[in-house]
Amino acid sequence: MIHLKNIDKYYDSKFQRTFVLKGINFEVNQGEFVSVMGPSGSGKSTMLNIIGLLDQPSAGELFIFDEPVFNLKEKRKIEYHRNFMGFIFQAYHLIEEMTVYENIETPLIYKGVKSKERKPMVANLLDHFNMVAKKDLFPQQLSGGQQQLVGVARAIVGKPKLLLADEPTGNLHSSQGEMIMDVLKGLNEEGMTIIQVTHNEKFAQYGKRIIRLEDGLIREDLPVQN
Amino acid sequence: MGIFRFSNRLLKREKGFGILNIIGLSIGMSMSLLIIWYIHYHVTADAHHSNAGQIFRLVSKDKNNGSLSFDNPLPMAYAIQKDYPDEAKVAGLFGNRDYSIEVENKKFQVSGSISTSTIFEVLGFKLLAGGAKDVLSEPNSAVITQACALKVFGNLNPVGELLTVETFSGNIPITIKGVMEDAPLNSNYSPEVLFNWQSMNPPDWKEKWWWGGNQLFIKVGNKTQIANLEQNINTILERYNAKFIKGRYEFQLIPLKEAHFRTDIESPFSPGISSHLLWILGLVALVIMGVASINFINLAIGQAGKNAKDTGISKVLGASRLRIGLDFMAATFFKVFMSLLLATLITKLLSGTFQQLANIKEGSPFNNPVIWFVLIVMFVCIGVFTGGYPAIVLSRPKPAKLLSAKRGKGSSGKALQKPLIVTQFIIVNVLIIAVLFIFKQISFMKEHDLGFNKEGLIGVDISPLNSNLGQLVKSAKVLEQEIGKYSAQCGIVSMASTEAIPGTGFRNAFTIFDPANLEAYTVTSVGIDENYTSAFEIPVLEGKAFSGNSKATSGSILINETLKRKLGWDSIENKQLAIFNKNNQVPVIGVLKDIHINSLNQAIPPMIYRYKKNAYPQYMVFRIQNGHEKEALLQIKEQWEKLSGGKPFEPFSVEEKFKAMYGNEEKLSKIIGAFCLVAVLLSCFGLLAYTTLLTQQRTKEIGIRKVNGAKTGEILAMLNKDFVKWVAIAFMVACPIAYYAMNKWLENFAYKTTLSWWVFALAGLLAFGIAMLTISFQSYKAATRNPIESLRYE
Repeated sequence: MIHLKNIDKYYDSKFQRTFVLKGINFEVNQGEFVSVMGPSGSGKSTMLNIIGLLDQPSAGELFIFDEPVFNLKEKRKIEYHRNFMGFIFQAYHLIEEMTVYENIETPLIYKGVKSKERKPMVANLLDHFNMVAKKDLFPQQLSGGQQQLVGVARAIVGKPKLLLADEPTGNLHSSQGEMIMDVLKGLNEEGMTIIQVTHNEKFAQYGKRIIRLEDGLIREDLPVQN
Repeated sequence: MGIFRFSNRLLKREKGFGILNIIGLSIGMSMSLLIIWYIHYHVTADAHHSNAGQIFRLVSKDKNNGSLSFDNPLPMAYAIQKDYPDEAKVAGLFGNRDYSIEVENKKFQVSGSISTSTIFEVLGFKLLAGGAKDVLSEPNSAVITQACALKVFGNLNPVGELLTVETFSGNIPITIKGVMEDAPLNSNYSPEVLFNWQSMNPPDWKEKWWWGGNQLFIKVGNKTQIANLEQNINTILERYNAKFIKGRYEFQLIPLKEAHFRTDIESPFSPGISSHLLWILGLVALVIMGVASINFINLAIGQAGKNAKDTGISKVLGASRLRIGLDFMAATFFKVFMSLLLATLITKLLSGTFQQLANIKEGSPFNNPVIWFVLIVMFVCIGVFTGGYPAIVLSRPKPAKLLSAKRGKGSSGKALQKPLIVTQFIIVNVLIIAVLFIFKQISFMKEHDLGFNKEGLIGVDISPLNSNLGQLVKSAKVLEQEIGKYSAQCGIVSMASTEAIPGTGFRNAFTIFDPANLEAYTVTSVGIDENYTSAFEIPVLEGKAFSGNSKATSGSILINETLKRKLGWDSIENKQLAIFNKNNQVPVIGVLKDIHINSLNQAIPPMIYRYKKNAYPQYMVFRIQNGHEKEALLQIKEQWEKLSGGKPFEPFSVEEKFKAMYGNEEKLSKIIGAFCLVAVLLSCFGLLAYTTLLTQQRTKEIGIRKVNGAKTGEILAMLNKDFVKWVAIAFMVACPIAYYAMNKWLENFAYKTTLSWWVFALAGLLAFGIAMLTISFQSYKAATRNPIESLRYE
């Protein structure tokens, strides 16, 4: 489904080239749940951004469903963002002026889904996450875990094939983190492909495969043993 | 989601800055609207006349002193029309003033002109009732405007009605022969009544070349003939052997459309306005609008730090750049629309005051379609400009950048901001300096020594005593005698009767000759009596003043210092001057100290004082002992009422009259002052916006510094340091600009205040204070903020 071939990412300064990622090769198949781990500065988030088409690799190739996706035009990128992938962030990144309902609805509006069809889609998700009562609240009125739940709902409302999560539990305490991870696991079991970046060894175990990065290199790529 | 809900939340998020944004823009808009209104009012002043492009005005130039005037000799229109009937159609308007008319025993004051019948052909006043072109050619006929017809006769078609008009040579019966359309309110020539030429002028008017006050409008078929016609007109005085003025005047033709902007031409009828002033005002409007728009953009970009994250999220969620740009545009247009609403409200509230200050007769700016057009243009232009730029800039960055912690640094548009802020500081400095000098000049003029003691002088216009000239002379004498009987007991120190009082118009300009070399001088002449010099307390510098009605006095004249200097005389001993012609020589018996008879804009003219005991009295003047004003006025009023037969008694203070002469300058200064204040205020908004942005970008730095032990004062100093530098630079740039500008402006005044350095210093201090207050408002907030808050999410 996703194939990274010899991906490099570097920054040139006056005297030297600093690599963030170097010769990254790996493949993610449909239905996988991959956890990417590694110390700070190892390039985890950069890799996730490259997969999410938010950042350009300096060299190498990226394929999504065997289709090359580097140097895409803005328009094509937006297509991928609308239909193929959803994002979850450590800092939730909800729009503060919008209610829970409106936050979840936004991607559908961008996608061009009609108002009549949006309603049941958002309502379903709210129901699924037990948040119907909170739909008219603003993000700052919710706890961190609930905010992230909205973030997850927003990411999956457009029924993406791929979910990219950048430290989704980083700002949460452990019980809330567990709740979010259970949700992700559930989504994966329903068939969603997920790539998450995390620091937390325990939460990494929720996935089916762990990739360990160090200094921009893949050190280890092993399935999770239960 | 509704745009209004979005915008409402936008305003809420911006925490007052959105409101500030809207207020700033609306103030700028309304100020510009008022200025545009003013400019439009003047630019279209004479545009309504049909064929305005073909109409020219005749200007006479006094060769003795080079002064220009729209006043022309009384027979001039007739002479040109008679001699050059094919080249031009000529109309004359004479005696433009208020007339008392009587209709069925009711009295009215109406503005009127004595007009040649050609006026309808030349100026194209539209006739609504009555005959065609020849409507004014019948003796004792008149044409009246609709509004005046309604006021006087109570109906719109008073053709055939009769009225009586008071003139200096008695009452004249008039029949209304036509009704014309009201002139636009900004028209320069809008008499309510036009009177027939022959009936209102003296029978020998064709000979009275020395009677001025005739305004000439000349319509030419072919503009190429102008030069030729001008030449021909200049032969007229010679050919008609015009008494007294032959050889003294030269004539020019200037386009009607230009006339309103020629402030160098004397025009008692319709004072012009300098086109420079209009340009400056237009520029001010543009600057205000520009500053307001730029600040609007700066504020918008300043808010972008907060917006950036949302933009990033939207992009990740699949919003196209166009969509983000459009969202931003929509929000901006909403804000601009709100500003527009507020601006119309502010304009409406201010228009009354502005009208008074600026002397605009038009009712309301919103009756003017041009203003509406300007409003729409403003809305679209400002919306596109202020919304478009940030929309492009803010939608551009990659989402990863917007979402990362490093956002805000190196934000686009920042490079532009520093010069913009310094430019604004310069403008603020220049404006403050200008305002200070304008007010300094005005107070200088008000405090200036006029050469006579202006305090305690009460003047009375005695010309209404009787319209019959012979009777006025008699009445004036009686009034003087009667008041004289009681003057001692009611505190009247002295009184005099005269043709003119300083502060009122001195209308007589005579040509005199120095018999020694036959050189000609144009002097201002005033007829006075023997009490004049003592009543005004004008010092006699040489010789003696008039004394009593002796033969020696009545045949002699006094001159002022300026004239003596011009003549180059060392002393007046045995000196004579010739008045009007070279043979009419009279002895000069005294030199009076120079006094100001006009506003201090004008230099003191050379003057002669002739002894005219009650010959052409126009005013009486009383010097009243301090504290006795009430009883003195009561006494004068009593005598006045005995003589005048119910005419209103309207005394005035000479001091006040003088102050009133600066009314125009004062009004103008108040306008300029107000606009400057607004510009300064808007700049403060801009500054505030910029500081907000700057402190926002440095939030983390401030937090770290505080955690590491920086005190509030130190943070404040760090944040304000840059601005101090900029204010200093701006001040240094502003000083020479302001110096140059004020020097130019002061050239308009014959007597001017000095460009003292302390004014510059004071202005700099003021600008500095204003800037520091504005900046500190934000930087103090940033400096006292709890560092934990600013560092929490980093």
